[in-house]
Amino acid sequence: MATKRVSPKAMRRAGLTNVGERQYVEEYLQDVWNRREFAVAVPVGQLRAQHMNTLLGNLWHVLNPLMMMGIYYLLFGVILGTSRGIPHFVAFLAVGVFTFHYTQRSVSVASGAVFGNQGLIRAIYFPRSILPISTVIGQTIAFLPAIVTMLVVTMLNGVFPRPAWLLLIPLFVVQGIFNLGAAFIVARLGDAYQDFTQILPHFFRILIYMSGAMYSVDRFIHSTLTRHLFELNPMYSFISLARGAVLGLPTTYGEYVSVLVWSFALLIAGFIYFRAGEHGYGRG
Amino acid sequence: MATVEADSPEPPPRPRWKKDPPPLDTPLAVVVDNVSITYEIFQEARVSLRAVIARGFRGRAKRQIHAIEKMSFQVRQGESVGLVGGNGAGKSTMLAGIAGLLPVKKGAIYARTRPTLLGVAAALNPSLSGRRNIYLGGLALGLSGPEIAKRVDEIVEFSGLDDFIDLPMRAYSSGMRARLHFSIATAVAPEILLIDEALAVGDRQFKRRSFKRIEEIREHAGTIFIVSHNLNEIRRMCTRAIWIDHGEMVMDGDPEEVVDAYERRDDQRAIDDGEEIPDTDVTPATDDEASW
Repeated sequence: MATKRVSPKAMRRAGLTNVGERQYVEEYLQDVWNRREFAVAVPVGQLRAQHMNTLLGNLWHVLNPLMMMGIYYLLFGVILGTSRGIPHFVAFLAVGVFTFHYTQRSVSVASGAVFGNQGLIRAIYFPRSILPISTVIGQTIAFLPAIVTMLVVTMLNGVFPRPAWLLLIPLFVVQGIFNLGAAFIVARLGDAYQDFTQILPHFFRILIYMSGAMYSVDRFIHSTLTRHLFELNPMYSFISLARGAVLGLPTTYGEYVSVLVWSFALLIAGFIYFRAGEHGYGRG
Repeated sequence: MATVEADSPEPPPRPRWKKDPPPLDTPLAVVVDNVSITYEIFQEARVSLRAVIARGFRGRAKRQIHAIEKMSFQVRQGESVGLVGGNGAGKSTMLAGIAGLLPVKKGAIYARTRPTLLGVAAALNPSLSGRRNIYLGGLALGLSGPEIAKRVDEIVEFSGLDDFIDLPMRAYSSGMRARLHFSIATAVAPEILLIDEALAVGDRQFKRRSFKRIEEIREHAGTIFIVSHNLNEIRRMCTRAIWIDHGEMVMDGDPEEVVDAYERRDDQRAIDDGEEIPDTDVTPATDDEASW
């Protein structure tokens, strides 16, 4: 039954293309762009479905960080007393926890973005980057009411709104880019090693302690070196900058550099890493 | 034309659609060139951390399953090709390969446009209404919002779901769900359509309509691949059949001949195994689609 092998050139002349051929980056990005409506429709559909399937619906996106905040307030503010010397501790905590929560949710959900969608991958052709992208879009949409809640809590705590609050917009945009970069990486890792999803919660537990979400790290900072070490942690820098905008707490240039470099470097590295695994997704 | 045959006063026992193969100078639609597709069960990327630790990062055991071995065939526009063979013969793998969803190990698969697998189900969300799912499915297949808006009424009508279209999909019967899937997936009339066991869905009326739609696609120079265990379906709808066994091609040609040969071999095997063969066809001739 074997026929003579055909030459790719002859095929191209006949108007046929190789279905398994790796695309150039520009073509791939064009493909991603062409599916942008799909990338939004999937998470919007999921949020809508979630809303209908649970009693409190999308209220959970606000209630979850609020409850987390309540627990941390009890633990750190009341029992351990880290609130000492921090004016408006509730607002301080709210900004820290909600900002951290945005990244934690995006990355945790993205770790299952490829593995959890094998059926889709095996049935329909589309650039797989759409999966982590739509995860981050969905978590960003869910984060919007959480921002409002965060600011309401802040005002209830006696902080008056200031124009600097508008700085939150570019800050969260940059954080969204950071989340996307991280989402690309964990999506591939989570597909290759399911064990990875077991490690993630512990990783975030450690990270939240190191990022000063529920206490001020100032007392650990004795020198410029220790300050720079904290700035290297992007989550610390995001939280510190958000507090700078909302509460007027001091920020450093190092924090700006940290979040910008981290976000764009992670986006590029994450995209390259994710795409290198493109053909293997859905085979497992 | 199919309708002419169906209306003729002396219908043959098995009315067929028009199924003359297209002339030989018709442009090629799909070329499968010496293709091998292999599954690696313990492939590197999917090994569990536990196994890696247990084996100390050395000597990853790879078990290769040769799903498709050195397959070559060329298909022209307007052909509808039935793939027959037992379970695990490699039929579905072949389709996934043609759709570009599975990488080939050796050889290459060429196609005029990217083939569409009739499998939109995975993109849909059962908690959402049928109407919202039409959008979701359409977007997944690469349509734009306005393009879907133009077709949505037609899709609803074709699906025959009427009022149900605004209920959550989880309220649908499996037949209704399948009808919606089919309606969405074929709304664009893809140039190259791959159908994996999806035809035996819906009631008689819907089955008839879906067969007709597939025929329309083919007549508009579309190309269709069908994987089905319903051999009558292959006989009736295909201009050509390919018999695959253990990932290799056994026979390629006229659907009647190929399906007959496949059935004979199948029966022979059963006889060799000492089974009793019922004298009727394995596929019951009395099932509802046999009457049209």
